[in-house]
Amino acid sequence: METVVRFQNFAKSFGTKTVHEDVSFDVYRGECLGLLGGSGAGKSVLLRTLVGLEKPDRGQIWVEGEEISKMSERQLINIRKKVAYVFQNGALFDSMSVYDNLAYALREHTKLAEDQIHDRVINRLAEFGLAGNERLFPSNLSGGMQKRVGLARSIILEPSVVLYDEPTAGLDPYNTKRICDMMLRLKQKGATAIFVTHDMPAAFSVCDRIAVLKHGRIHAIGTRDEIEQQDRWVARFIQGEEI
Amino acid sequence: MIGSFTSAIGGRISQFTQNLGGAWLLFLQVLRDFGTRPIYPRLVIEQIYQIGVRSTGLVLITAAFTGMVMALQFGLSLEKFGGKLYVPKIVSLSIIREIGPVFCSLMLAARVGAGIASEIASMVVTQQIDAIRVLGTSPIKRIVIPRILACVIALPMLCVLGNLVGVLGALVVGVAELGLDPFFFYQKVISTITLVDLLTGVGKTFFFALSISLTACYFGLNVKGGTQGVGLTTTMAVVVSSMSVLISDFFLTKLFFVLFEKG
Repeated sequence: METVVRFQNFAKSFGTKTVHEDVSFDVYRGECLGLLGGSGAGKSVLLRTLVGLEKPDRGQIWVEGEEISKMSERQLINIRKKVAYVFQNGALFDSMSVYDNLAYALREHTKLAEDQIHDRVINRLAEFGLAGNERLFPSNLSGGMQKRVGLARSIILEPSVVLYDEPTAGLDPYNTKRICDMMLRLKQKGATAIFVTHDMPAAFSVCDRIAVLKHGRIHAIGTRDEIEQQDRWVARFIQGEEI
Repeated sequence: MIGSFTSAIGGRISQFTQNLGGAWLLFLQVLRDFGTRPIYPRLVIEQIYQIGVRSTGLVLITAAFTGMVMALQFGLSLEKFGGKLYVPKIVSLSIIREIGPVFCSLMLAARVGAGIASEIASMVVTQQIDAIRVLGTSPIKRIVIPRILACVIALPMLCVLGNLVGVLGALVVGVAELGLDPFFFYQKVISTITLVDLLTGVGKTFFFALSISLTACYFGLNVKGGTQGVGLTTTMAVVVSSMSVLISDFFLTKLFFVLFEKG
């Protein structure tokens, strides 16, 4: 199996608070890895580090065969074209319409003509059930729609890796299912993904493997059955029992 | 008691040096990215409209009334000594060299400094700045450089307009309240003001514009906390950029004096 993302002895602290002591794991091409852990376990920090929004204190991070931990902002641009980040709240540009939010990366990184960009944006919006909303601004959208626009914007450049930071948080079951279906569709197209969530049913419906973070380390990693059998604490955590 | 006092002072000094160093690093980053591709002329034009055009009313009203008040104050004071005729000279020189550039800059620091800092801070809090980076673009190029450029272009223009309106305000009061002849007023202004006065006055605004926009961008980008942090950082940006205008005014005045008038 080809490794697409590799964390090797990763450590990160914020001031006196150590979030990660020694994190190592691999993500293989085409798989979706669920990242679970209690609140404040540092799941989002791992994702942010993968796109260079945070720098590790120690260790190495490999993306598509390139070590990114010491890359400059300019060098990271090429990595960021390959790795999409889906923010929890969408992080849409509120001064731009839905259309311009989606067209943003295409205008910046491709030489497509405006009519080609238009076609690509309209198709993507239709694919995500957002047809007809292109002229609206983020403030006019519901939470679920904002997340779908955020997801559509993130993958408009057709990245090889997608990082989902709690994309289903705060959504009703119907919208959660829509987001999960979109994630599954991307997975079928061959995208590698890391899915940070507290939503266990969503994680199990989308992910091939699950990694559980505890005390700044990967406490368990494997399929659902494997990690539940490996460790009683993990089984209780997944079941939502008191631990 | 003494321990907590010294620790508070130390904390303030440490914060000050951290901010100074941070703003300097941001300035170096701006210099490094300036002129490298991609460039965003449309964003600069948008910001010139937001920063310059939309501040025009505020700046002109401030300038007009400042000129009027100065003419009135000097006129009524000098009248006692028979020096009313010096009002055009004194007022126009003060406006062109000092009051015009400084007041325009302070108005811009209040309106635009607050606007830039709160807008950028809100973008940080809602992760829009992170989104700009994650989408493979640079917040320095898309957000910071257009605002700095717009300030540096717009403030000197506003200053020239403000100077003109300030002197006109003084003329109105000189004629209406002090009984001066408008042609006499005009002639005195023209014979008093030199190109060096005009250039040193307007020249300062380039530095003021840089310091206002850089300070506002720095504080906006380094906001801590949520919405409360946005409020605090906006206040800090206005206070620091206003102070930086007043402090740098002294040094620039001194510098321009050495460069253009000593010899």
